[in-house]
Amino acid sequence: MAENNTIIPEEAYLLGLITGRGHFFMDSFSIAIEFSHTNEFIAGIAHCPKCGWLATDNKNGGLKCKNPECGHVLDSSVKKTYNQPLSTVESLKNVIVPFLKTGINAEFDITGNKSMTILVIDLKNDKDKFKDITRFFSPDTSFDRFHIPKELETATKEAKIEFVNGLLDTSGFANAGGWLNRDGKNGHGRMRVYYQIVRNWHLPVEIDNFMRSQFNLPIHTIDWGHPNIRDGNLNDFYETNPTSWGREHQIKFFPEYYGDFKFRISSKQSMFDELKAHNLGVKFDNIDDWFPPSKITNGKLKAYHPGENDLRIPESARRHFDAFWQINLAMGCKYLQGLQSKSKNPDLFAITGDIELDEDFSKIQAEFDIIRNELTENATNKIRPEKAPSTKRKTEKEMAEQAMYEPLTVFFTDYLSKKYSEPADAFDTSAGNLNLFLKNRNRELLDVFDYCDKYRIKPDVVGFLEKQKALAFIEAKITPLDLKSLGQLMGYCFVAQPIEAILISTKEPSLSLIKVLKARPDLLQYAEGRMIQLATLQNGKVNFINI
Amino acid sequence: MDKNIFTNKLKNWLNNFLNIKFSETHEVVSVLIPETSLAKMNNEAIKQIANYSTWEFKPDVLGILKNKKNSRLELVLLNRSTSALSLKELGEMNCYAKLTGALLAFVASTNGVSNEVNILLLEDKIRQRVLSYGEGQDIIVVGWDEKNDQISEDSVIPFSKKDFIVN
Repeated sequence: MAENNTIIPEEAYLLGLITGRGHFFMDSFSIAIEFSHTNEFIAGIAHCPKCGWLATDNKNGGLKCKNPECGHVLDSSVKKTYNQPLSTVESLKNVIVPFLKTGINAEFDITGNKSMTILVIDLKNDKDKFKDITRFFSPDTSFDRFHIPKELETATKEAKIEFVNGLLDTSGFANAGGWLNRDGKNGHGRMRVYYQIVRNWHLPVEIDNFMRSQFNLPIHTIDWGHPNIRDGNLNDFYETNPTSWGREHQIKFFPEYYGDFKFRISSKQSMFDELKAHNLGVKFDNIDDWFPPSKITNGKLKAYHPGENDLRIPESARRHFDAFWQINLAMGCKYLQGLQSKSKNPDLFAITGDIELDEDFSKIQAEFDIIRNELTENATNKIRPEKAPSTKRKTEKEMAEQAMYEPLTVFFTDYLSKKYSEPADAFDTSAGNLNLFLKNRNRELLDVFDYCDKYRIKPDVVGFLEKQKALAFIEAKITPLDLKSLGQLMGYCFVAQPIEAILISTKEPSLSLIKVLKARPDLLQYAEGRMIQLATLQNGKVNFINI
Repeated sequence: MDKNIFTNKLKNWLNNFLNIKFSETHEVVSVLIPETSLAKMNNEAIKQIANYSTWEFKPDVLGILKNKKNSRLELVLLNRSTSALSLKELGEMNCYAKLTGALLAFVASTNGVSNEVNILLLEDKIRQRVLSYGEGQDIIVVGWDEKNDQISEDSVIPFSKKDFIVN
């Protein structure tokens, strides 16, 4: 901050980067910012050389003009392509880091891979600055929980713009496929850009409200990662992936209104410029803002979805919705709250979006309920194409290992509670990362084991000792234990420092492993006084092996 | 990239790297792609190193150096992967490097480190626990830039080794 406590532009930009994809490492006084680029290359948009209309992918390959009176076919090579990882690294080195350095005294480093680049900002030499920055987000330490810092409301316009620029560079995406079926004066298709918000349920509404209150800008829609919004007719639930809805949220807007802002990542700015130029050329009269919301009529009601009560959804949104804006209201949209307070019947407004309606709430609710139930029944009974067999069939080895998890879970619960004389729980966590297991399936445990939020690791069975907030791991194998399998469990143990770690196989360990460990028992040690134990699981019984 | 092609590229890279970086202090005895575990290798140099018979593992590329000062033989281990590196590969290399007391230990991938692990390794304490295998000795993680056929400068972990590896 500057001496008079105002946020300087460089700092505001950094706050935007952090809000979008930042992590704090409190012990290291460092900040990591993720720049995600799932696809190495992205392609721009194409226009018909004959009539100037948008040309999109043709079923037979190539591109076809969207103008029904033209229909000209052209080659896909007319589209510009952008190398995202390359442009991200170059933009960081040549533009973003030099800009940040003008206002922030830190060491900057860049790391990453093809799908993500990470900017690491080391503030060990200016710990006060680190504390200043983290205070804006306190007590949270990662982007999936961050809020927009309140201090920005009183910042200068330049700082507010830089905050949005930072937010755009990390969570903003301009892709050719996000266009809307709209006719303009000179053509068709209205391009949209979006903020992609991962696992953070309050940020979409905060961004929407910030853009309205600070810049008077419209937002087209918010695509919530909620079952009623992403899988409203239950097609994914019954046909492909029952939890396909559990994706990121997208806040969609039209680029032509964002002239005050800029991406510093060159590939994103180039794509943004293409989309903006298209919309300005086609000319759309309608602002197409979602606010005020459309009324919910019978035809807009949605089927009930089994995922509505999923623990991944915060309590305030863990229920049925018929329209995305109802989630905005549930997540605290002040514009909707204002409208609701002026409505004749606030409860009715919440389910219909009608500010004038003043009828019997329970009667309308019951009518809606009948329709939703009909829709649910129709979706459930709909004849659907047979599911193609999964290409991801488990190997025999995987299935044999999986068969070990249940008896090991029972053993571990009993073993831990007896050994430590306190209640213990053990779970098969092999299906995904430990942090997601806690977030998605056991919120109560996550409250106790909050430090596991950063543990994106995948042990087979995890035991939880609630009193001492300690973890215990089992890694299961069906092959003789060897150095390789020991090393694998060691990796998890180095990260999470469990109170116990057991490497178990249905087979006896290899003689070579025993030989090595007799000579070098220190290879089992992963923390002061903590060693991995070896065991066998035979006839349902776990036997520890003394080295 | 085909795994065997990648292994060969890394073998060539390691050979050049060791000859450049260690020419003053060490003689590069050989850089090779082992076909069996180190314990079973028919290699005179290996057999001169204490405890080699317990080394029942096979790194993807092995460098053998001789210290010019004391004639001691020292090992450089390198494992490679064509998918993003996870904690499993790093933990595995940690065991091998600890066991052999390797002079250097590398893990390389054409896809760098997985996003999950990358974030974990940014935390000083976790990174030290995962990568350190002895006093002042850290596993060096590198990404391979397929387009330019070289180590990607921005992939080296820990950052403190970047200059040593790239320049």
